[in-house]
Order: sequence, then structure tokens, then C-alpha cells
Amino acid sequence: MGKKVVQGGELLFKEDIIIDEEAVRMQLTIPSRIPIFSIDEMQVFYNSHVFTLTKNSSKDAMIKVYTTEYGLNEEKSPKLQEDEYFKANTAEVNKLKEEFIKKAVIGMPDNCYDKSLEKQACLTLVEKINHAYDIAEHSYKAPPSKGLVPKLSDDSIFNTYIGDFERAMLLDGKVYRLETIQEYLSMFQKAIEPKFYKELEKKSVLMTPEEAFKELTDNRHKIHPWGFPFIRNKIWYNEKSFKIFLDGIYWIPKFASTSKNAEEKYRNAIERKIKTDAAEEGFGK
Amino acid sequence: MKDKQNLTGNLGALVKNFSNLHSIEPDSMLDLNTTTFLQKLVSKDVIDAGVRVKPKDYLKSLVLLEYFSGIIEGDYMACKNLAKISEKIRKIEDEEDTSVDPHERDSYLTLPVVIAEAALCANEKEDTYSDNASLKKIKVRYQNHDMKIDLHSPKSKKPEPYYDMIGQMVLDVTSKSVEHYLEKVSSRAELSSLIFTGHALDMIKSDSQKSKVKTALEKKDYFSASLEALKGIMKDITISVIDEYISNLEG
Repeated sequence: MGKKVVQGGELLFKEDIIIDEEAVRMQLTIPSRIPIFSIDEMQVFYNSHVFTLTKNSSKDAMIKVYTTEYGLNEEKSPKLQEDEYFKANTAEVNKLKEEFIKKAVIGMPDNCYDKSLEKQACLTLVEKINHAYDIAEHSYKAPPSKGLVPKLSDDSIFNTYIGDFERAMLLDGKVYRLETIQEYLSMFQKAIEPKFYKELEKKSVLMTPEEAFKELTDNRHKIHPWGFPFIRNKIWYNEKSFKIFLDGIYWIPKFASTSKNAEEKYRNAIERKIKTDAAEEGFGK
Repeated sequence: MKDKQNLTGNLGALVKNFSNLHSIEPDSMLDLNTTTFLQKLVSKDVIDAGVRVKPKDYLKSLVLLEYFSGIIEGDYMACKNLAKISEKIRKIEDEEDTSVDPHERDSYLTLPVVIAEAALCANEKEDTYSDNASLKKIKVRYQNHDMKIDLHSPKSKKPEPYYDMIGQMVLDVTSKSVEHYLEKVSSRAELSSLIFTGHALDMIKSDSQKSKVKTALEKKDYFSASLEALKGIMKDITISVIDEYISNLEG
């Protein structure tokens, strides 16, 4: 038998407070325009920063699309975007919190005089929410940085829980991983003559895409004919080729996945935050 | 200049709103903007047919073949034939000759050869274009890609720098002869048909046929314009274009 509490002239036992696990797992209809994934244009993610394309070209951070060079404009940090999201949707989020507590915690009086009992119920609820969502912090994989764009200290939900965006690009619902020329070449090691590959591996660290193109073209007899176009043309082909330069490094965008899973994970992480905030804010009115 | 920027911006936004025809990224040997362009305008059937075309004509040819094969013909015979022609030439090419970039070899065909092959294929099915039932089928295929995009609708995706350049690519693959009709197009079917019509129009010799194409274009009837353009190349292009291409190689 749990603790007995006199509450409004009635007896209240700890056992009377029930956490409804189904309600804990229940999906919330969170405000739809979530940060990052609601932005309808190409975004580049690097060391926790977010960039979009700008017409003001820059030599230090640029993307060349077809025949035009664009600069990369730093957007608001994910943390700032999330703060703005929660602020802009305060009323809606508060309503979700209230409804969630009403459904998830059964038996808790409106004004619980025993704060230790309320705290215990809160902790139990938070624990159950975290268990229901199973979203762990992702381990940050630092890109091969030149240190020109240092990692942004950002404890946003996006940067803490949504992995594989340390160096990535988001375009049209697709995620591309940014690879160095050296990393890109390494996928084709078996199609390249070993001696030439070793030379290329060393040189490629300092190469521009155009230089890599020339080196590969000049030595195409050392590359398997079927592999050659895959190896060369994605790095650079002609003056209309796509190119991205950031943090002193040329990157090759390589398709990783659609953004559906990352977006769903992000929505879940936002939903979890709303629920845990609701639990931590207590049940008293 | 500003008008041109507006045009490419609008074209880019239009293309951005098209659904993807496929997802070729994992296998793509092309750069990002070319991959995006192909995803929006060329089906996997045409890409997989393995037609070899010289880089300067590559995208033009693929959009043209997409329209001709996917909408007009409803089969990919022209693509397959072009792939066979390339393969035959390839057999006589010296692949060891590293002085020529692989994509500049003669087995990579040109736009006039692609148009000629389309005309020859169409001539083989000549009846198709005078038979109402067949025309109806073509129209249905056209309508399947004719979902109009209203760029002013709040639901539409908006212009962005990346797609401005996809718009520029669209402009660059369109023949100058029909460029000024681009600002009126509002669906994938209209855009592809206009690109097809423009390149076909450039090869039509008969003035009266050219005039029929232009009349349809002025009425914004892109579908009829493309069929008139097709009739034009069917009349004016003979196998001699392909023969000439091959005999130039031998010469």
C-alpha cells in the first residue's frame, strides 16, 4: 500500500495515480511547420551550422550550380529556429501539453498538496516517455575540417538527436552526404590501378575538382572503362558541373537517403520534448 | 536581362513543382544539377535505353526522346534503335585511342541523328497519326503529364537559387525558335512538347508546315504543335540523314 494523502477530505494513495502507457506513446499533432525540414530550398549542414544559397558569391563558401556561383549564407542556428518554433506556437503547444497530461496521468488531483508525490509521478512519466521514444543522442562525427568553419555549439534537438548531418545537404526531400574527393575516389579503389590509386589518394587532398578531372582523364587507361565515367563525371565534367567549396575543401554530394526518416525522427524528438516538458512542468494548476 | 532572370526563375520553380519521375541518384554518374534535371524531365526508360549522345546535345536529345517515345509513340523503339546504331559504330572505334575523350567519340550521336531516328520510327507507324483511336491514346498519355502548376498558389513550391539554374538548363535545351513560348508553359507535358517541337521545327523544310506549327503554338496548343512538328519531320527527313552521318565517319 502506498502513501496515504489527505486530499480535499478524500484519501489518495500512490497506487491511485496511474500512468497510461498507451497515452504516453500516443502521437501528438505537433505544429506542422517544423524547423529545418519545412524550409523549401537547398540547405547545407556543416559542423552544426546551416547554410542556404545566396546570390552574393563568396570565394570561401560557395556552391556552383550549372553556370552560376552562389555564396553560402549562414541561416539561424537550429537551436534558434527551434526556440522560434516553440515561441510562435506557444498556445498550441501548451494545449498539447495539457491534453497529454490529462490523458497520460490518471488519478492526479488538480492541486496535489503532496509535492513529493507529484514529483515522483513526474519522474516516472518522464522515464516512460523516454522509454517509449527510444531516441538516443547521436555521436557526432567531425568532418575532415580545415578549421575555417568551427563546430557550432548548439544543443538543439536537431543537432543532438538527428544524426548524419555533420556534413550534408538537403534538397527536394533528399539527403546527400558531402564527401571529399579523396573519400569519393576511395569507393572506386578496385577499379583503379593500385599504383595510380596511391598517387591519386595523396594528391587528391589538395586537388580542385577540375584538377582531379584532368588527372583522371590523363590516366584513364589506368581506370576500368566501365568505372571511369562514374569516377570522373561526378567530381567534375565541364564548366556546367556542380561544385561545392566550404571550409577550404571541395565536396562531392553523394546521395544518402530520402529525408523521410530523418524528418520523422525529428518530429518524434519534438513530440517527446513537448511531452517531457509537460511532465517536468508538473501537474499543478 | 531581368526578363531572362524572371523566365529562368519561373521555369525553375515550375520544374521544382514537378514530381520526380524516378530516383536515379544511387546509380547516377552525373553531377547534381544534371541528375535533378533528368529526374524531373526524363523517365528511367529513356535513360536506361543507353542512348549515347554527345554532351552538348545530351539533355536536348533525352527530353526530345522522352516526349517522342513516352507520349507520342508509347514505346521506346527509337531509343533502342539509336542505342544499336551507337553500338555498331562503337565496334569500329579504336577504344584504345586515348586522344579522344570517350564522350566525343563518333558512337556518341548528335541531335539531328536523334531527330532523324524519331522521324523514321514515326514513318513506320504512319497510320497512327491519322487514326482517331491512336490519336486519342497519344492525347491520354499527354494528359497524364499535363497537371497544371499554378506558381501563384500558396501550395506551390517557390523559386530558389538552385532551381533558377535548373530553369536555365531548361532554357538552354530549348530551341531558340520556340524560346518565347516558354513563359506560357505550365505543365511537364507542355514543356516537353515545346522542347520537342522546337528542335523538330528547326529541321522542317516546308514553310507551310512550319507555319502550321507556329499557328498552334500561338494558340498555346502545344499538343497540336508537337503533332504538326512531327508531321513536318516525317515528311522532310529521310534515312539519308543517318546514312550521311555514318558515311562521314567512314570517310
